[in-house]
Amino acid sequence: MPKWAANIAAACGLLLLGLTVSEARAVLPVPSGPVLLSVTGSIAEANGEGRAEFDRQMLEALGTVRLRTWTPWTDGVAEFEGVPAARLLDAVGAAGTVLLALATNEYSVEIPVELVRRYPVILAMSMDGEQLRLRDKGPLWVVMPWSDYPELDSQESRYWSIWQLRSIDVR
Amino acid sequence: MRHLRLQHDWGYGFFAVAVVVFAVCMVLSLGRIKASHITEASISAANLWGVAQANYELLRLVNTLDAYATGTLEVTRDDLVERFDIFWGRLPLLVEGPDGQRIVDISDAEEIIPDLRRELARLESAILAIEPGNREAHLRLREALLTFHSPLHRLFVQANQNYVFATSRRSQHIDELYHHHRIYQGGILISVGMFVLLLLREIRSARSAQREAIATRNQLGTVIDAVPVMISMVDRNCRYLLMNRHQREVLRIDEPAAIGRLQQIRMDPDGDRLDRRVLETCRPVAPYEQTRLDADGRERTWLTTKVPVLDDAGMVQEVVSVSMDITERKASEARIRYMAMHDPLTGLPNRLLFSDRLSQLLGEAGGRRRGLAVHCLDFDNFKEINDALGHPIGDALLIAMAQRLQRCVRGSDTIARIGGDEFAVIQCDVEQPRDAARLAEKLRTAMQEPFLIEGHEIATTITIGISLAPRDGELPGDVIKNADLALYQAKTEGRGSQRFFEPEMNERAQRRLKLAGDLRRALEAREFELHYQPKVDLAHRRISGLEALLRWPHPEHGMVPPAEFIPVAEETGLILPLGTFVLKTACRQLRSWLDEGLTPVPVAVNLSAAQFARQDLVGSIRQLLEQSQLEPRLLELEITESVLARSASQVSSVLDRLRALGVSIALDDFGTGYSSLSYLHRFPIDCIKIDKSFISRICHDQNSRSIVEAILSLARTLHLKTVAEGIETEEQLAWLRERGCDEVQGFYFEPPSPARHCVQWLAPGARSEVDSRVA
Repeated sequence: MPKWAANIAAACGLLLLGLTVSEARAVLPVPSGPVLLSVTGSIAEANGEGRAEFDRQMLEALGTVRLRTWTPWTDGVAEFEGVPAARLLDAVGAAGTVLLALATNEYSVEIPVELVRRYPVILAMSMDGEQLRLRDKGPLWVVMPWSDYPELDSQESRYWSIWQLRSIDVR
Repeated sequence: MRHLRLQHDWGYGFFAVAVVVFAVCMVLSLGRIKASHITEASISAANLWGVAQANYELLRLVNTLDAYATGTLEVTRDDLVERFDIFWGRLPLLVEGPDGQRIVDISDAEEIIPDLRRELARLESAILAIEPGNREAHLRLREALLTFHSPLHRLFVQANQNYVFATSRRSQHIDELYHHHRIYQGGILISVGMFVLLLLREIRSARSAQREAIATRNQLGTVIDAVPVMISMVDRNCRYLLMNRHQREVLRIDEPAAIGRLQQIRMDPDGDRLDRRVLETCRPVAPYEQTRLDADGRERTWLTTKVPVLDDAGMVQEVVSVSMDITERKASEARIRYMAMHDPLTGLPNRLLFSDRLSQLLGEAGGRRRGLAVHCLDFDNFKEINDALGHPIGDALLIAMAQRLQRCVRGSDTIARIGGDEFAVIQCDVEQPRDAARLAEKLRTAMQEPFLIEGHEIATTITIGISLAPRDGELPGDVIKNADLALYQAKTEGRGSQRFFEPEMNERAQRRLKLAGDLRRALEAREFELHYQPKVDLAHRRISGLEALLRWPHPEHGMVPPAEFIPVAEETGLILPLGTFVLKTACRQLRSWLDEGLTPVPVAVNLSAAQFARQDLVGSIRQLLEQSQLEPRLLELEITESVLARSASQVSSVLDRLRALGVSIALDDFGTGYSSLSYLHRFPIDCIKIDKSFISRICHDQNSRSIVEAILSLARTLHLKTVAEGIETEEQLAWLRERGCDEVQGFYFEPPSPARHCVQWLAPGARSEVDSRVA
């Protein structure tokens, strides 16, 4: 087979793969385990009454990434693993400019959507390989890539970095 | 040669001094900037929220432990673990704050927190393993947890002090910062001047050696031209000998044109006079600021200093002037000052500037014996509007409100935004309370006109609390607090009203605080009970239902009227456990009547707005009905119109789901609130309860009669059941029966009575006194 033909075949394959992947995304499954996060507000995808609920398995299925960064609350650099916030927003078809995030400890903060679109902010589920528990800011902690983007080191980003995150209302 | 060397030594010393002065100024300047950052940070670092939260979370943990251990409320072990973990996670944050700064004074927090953490670790396993019903372990752990309260409270007091201190320091600090900047800038100018002098001395000392002089002069020229500061030198006749490139650029002249000219080219008219003064006094001129137009006609501000150049005889031969353009720096200082003192959204002064002005005016007012008034304004339905229409419209509304308010006050008055939807006004020169009342009326009237924002017509009202100085207090804190108390009082009396402060309000606030504590304790001690009042079906002449009413027999004060404790319960959030208690008790009571073989009738329970806002309301009612194995038709929920007014779409879906369960819904106190007839067909409602204030007047007031008749005919058209509340006389009963009211309730039949009294009405075939009265 000539080389160009192989290239075309590969391109077609990728295209097909892309199509099937985008079709598979259509419906949000229903959580089977304890619900870690519920998303409400202006969202297109839901699995409950006006809300999209996620258990740990569902969050992991969205695809997790690792992020090495210092934080204002940890000694030195730590490695976090979690779902990119932007990916979560895509999964629920979020259309809004502000995320009203609420924590189990009743803290709440408004995070601009632009922030999570511009920077790889994650909803961390583990730190240095250890699953985050409620007592150490888990099960979900909004972590910013402070090490990679020094401009994020501001008072505001510390407020945005909500831990014990329980729900997000997209506004 | 010897003379020359001496000159050199002198020059080096001078140079060294210049460098040191320059360096010190830079370091100090940077130091100030850093200090300002730390002060800013300490305001947020004095993160009161964190410490207050710790106290709150501790109490929540204790409450959850209580509930779990006694099995009173629906609390699971997971809830207990969650509360424990939240408190556990909070403690380390008090040593290392959520913004990386320490929250409280290091010595205390570092002393207290590690002890608390050790103690909590010791208690962990026992708390998490406690079994419901183990009273001894429960009390022991409760006691142990409550010992945390006092050290945490100590931290709270400290954090509070730090916060207050930091806030009051902030405005003072901005002034200081500005002041220091001037000093440091002056220092930098002086050091530049000294540097120039040094080079001049070098030239003079090298006069004998022509070549050296030329070389040095070239170096001097290069250095002086490179500095972005205006440097010039005039001789004893005030003619220019030297002008650096920056100054030539600013003045738009070339060097040959400048050199030798008189001072007419300078833009600084004081310059000539000051140069002469330096020539006469042999003393430098301290840095001074001047605002002039530059060659482009833009307004610039320069900081200038002038230094004499002395010859060997100590006579002034030349004057060196150094000027620095500080326009941008001044503008940014002004911006910082403005930002720290104003609300960015509306541009109005913020709380800080408001308190500043108030302290200042109160100081003056004392001296001049002139009164002033503080008005605290609250927008009654701002939160609902914001929730319903979104933040951008809420923000636009706030801006429009601010503009309208501003038009109502005089230039000497101050209007500030001191909170989310709270505004405050300082009114000066108030001679009589009447003056303040008049302004409050004006403000309220101005708000009555609806706002038109992005196509939405928004109607709003404001409630105002007023306090007068010196009558109600002379300290800024007291005056604001009193206006706040008056506002609180005004709000309880109805939206859109205004109230002056009265000393009793203070006592009332104290009483409320005590009542809140009593409520909490009463809830734990299970002091509350339910009484039931029958509703009578006029067509079938029988008891058709009971309304469950909360009663609080206080061990010291006797029966506390619900009108007194319900508002406090709503404010403190205790309305939620109280509401749960009422629902549970009513369902249990119904179950036990059924078990006793009685013929039960539907029981109506009042729901508060706060219960309605809970996401799990429908689920918990379903669970409750299942647990007590009750038919849903036996439960009726009574809500007031204010619940419907809150968030129409959410309420509507909750009501739909409740109806789908089989529970019926009654609209309570109909006619008293924001009665909107549209509610009646917009919401799934089964029954209207006509408020007793109308019923009590039907026999002697034509208006009340017309209203009740209208409600009855409207309800008939919409197929809604009607219940008249507060029947006290036979006359009222006859009138209502004639007009087709379905059911009645009131003292004419029975007052609310304890459950044991109800048995007589529910026994199969029982005919009680009630029936005879209907007949």
